[in-house]
Amino acid sequence: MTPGIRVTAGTIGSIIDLRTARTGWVHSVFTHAVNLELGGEMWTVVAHDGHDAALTVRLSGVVVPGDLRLRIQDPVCVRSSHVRAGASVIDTRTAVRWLPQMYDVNLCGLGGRAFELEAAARHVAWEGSWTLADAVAGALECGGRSDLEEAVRRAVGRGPGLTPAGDDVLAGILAVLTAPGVAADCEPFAARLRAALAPALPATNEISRALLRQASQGHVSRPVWELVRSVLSGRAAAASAPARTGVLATGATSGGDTCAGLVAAGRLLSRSLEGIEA
Amino acid sequence: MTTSSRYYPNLYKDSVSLMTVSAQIMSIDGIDTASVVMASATNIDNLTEAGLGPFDVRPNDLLVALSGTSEACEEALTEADDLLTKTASPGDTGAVAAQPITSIQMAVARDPSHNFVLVSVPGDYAAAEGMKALRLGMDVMLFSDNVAAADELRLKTYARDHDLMVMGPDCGTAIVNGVPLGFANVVRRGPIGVVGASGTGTQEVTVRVHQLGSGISQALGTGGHDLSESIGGISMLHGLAALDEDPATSVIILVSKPPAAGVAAAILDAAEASAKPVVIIFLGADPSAITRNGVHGAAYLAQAADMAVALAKGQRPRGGDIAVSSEMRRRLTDAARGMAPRQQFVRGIFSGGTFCFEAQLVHAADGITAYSNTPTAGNHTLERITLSQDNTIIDMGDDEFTQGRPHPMIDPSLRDARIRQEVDDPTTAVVLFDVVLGYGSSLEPVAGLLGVIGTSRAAAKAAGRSVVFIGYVCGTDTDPQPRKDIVAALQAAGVLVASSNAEAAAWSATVITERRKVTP
Repeated sequence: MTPGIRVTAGTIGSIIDLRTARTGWVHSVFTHAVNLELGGEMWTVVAHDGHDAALTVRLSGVVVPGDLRLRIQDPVCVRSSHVRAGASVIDTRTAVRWLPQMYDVNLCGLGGRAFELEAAARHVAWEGSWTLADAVAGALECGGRSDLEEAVRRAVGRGPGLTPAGDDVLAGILAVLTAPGVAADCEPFAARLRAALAPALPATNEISRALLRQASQGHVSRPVWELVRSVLSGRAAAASAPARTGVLATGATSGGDTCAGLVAAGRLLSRSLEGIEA
Repeated sequence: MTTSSRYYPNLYKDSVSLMTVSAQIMSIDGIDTASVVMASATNIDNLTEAGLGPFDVRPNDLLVALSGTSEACEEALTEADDLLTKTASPGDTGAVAAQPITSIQMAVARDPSHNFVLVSVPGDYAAAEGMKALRLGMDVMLFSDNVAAADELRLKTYARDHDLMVMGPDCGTAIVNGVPLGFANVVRRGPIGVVGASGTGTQEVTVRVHQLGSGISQALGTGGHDLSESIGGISMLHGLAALDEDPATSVIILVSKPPAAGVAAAILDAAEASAKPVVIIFLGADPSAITRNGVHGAAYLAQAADMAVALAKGQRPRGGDIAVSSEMRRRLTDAARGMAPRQQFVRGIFSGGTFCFEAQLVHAADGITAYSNTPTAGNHTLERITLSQDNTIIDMGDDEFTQGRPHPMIDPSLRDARIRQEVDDPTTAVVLFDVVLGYGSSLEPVAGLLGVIGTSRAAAKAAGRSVVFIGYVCGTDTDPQPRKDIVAALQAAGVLVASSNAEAAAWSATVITERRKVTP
């Protein structure tokens, strides 16, 4: 048996349940992240400088997940606020739960903020992401069910990356449509998108599927949450810059692809509100 | 042409790794197409449609698909396999490998002789990592930027109190014990030590020293904020003292934009107290105001190197203005007189911030004001950074151009596109640019530029215009991209290549001055 280590979690995600005993196994291992499959949920363990998310455990201290000496298929057991994975143990008893901060929406100038975000993300995103984002947003706005299903089918699993670019685009769109303050108005859009997405999910990989399932329920990573907040609340550009930088630095193109989705959904929201006001 | 593929069941790699593998195998001669993707249904459809399939894979598989010559495909599959499996984490391989070093403490535990740390992490975390290193008794180079001024002061005060040095934050260039760090060039070792608050400024000086046959003992960076009032030049003063004590250093060069007045006075006092001759280039400051006993003020970067080499040889350093040879002046004048009437302006497109700064100063000395995203005193702020107006000299390495994309020294494609845009402008008379070589910079810094120059020059000619291209190549023949090859390629493309950034700017100013005579 490989000797394990004991580490402490600094934060845990907003919907992680550590009181209910459950078992699972290690799904995938990277230096800076480990994915755990637990009863149909995909939890991610990240280093102290990683990003919080709904199902993420962020370690404290200098240990990175690669130090946990885990192997794919190692057993995982959750009990009494401890996560045992392989021979290592993550103690979450003193961890703070990350809860996304609510905010007021100010949609005045939303189009301009979407434009600024596009300018920043244009060179980061995969080149095909903008077309995919526009196609899905267009189908949501004025297409029929089959148009939307086709646009979603074309996006799911498409493009480069561990989470393919098309999946990041869809996650970005869902992040806006499920955001607090607009979720009620956008629920018809979100419901249609969820319905179109469900049958297409098997086309992509398990990590990406987990990302999309969480996004469908309004659960996104902390930088994405904060970026959506800055776009929808109209915070000053200086205040929104760290969030934008944080998202754009994600993966090779993933952050930019997510922004493509945010921009398309932001414009969809802006146009639909104009329609309502008119 | 053939197609090949290999898949890895249930293998997950992060996006950056996938992109890196893809780029590496794409660069193999004979490879036409290379895709390294997760085998999602849509990606498989696309690859099959592109003629690379069919594949028998599942969405959780990682797929490498290629087209090219059969030898190249074989080589690419082997290389991809190497990259994808060699770097696999313990969990991927089913074996527990040696623990990777993931903290400064781990590195020191493994080898206690370490005494220097280079920190390159996001700015929010850089100060904490820097402090960990200092507390372990190590000197620190902070490559990271976006470190709060209060944190910088805290780190540097601690370092000063413990006789350690913090280079940075935002220190991009250093040569320590002959090892180039960050963006630095391969230069000969020798008797001249440099302390620089400017990355490309330090590169210019060290490269010039090498070209003059001398060498560098140490080149220490301070970060651009060190000479501010709030920091007080702590690192520059420490670096100066360290070089003063260094037996391998006989002449010292200090490089910076003009410091805060109080800081300048402290540095000049320390320089005057040094036992060794000190050459100081405070870009934009009057050299005569700097010069004093044992301290020699230089007017431009290359001149600082010239003076230091002279001093190292026991010769008298010479200052003065930049000279444009009579032969070059004649060539430039002839070119200016052959231009279309509307061609009046210089468009300086720089990847080095200090080069942009110096070029503005050289033009200003000839009465030529310019617009810039980083204007010097007397120049104007560009209204839209994407659009030049009148004389424009821009730093494409500045934050507004690099957010979310690589610095133009690493990926010059945006610089190349901007040069094309400037040549297309009927008011452009001169395109002035730099090419920075060395570690960290693109290995093919002019591959795209040469094509841009060729096509845009032809288009301009068809429109009845001739644009003068003036370039400067900062580097040495021993760099990973040998300077002589880059210079030869540019000259073959019709570029006038100067021996220093200041000389290139002086050539450009000569053309613009001539154009003003023709079209007042």
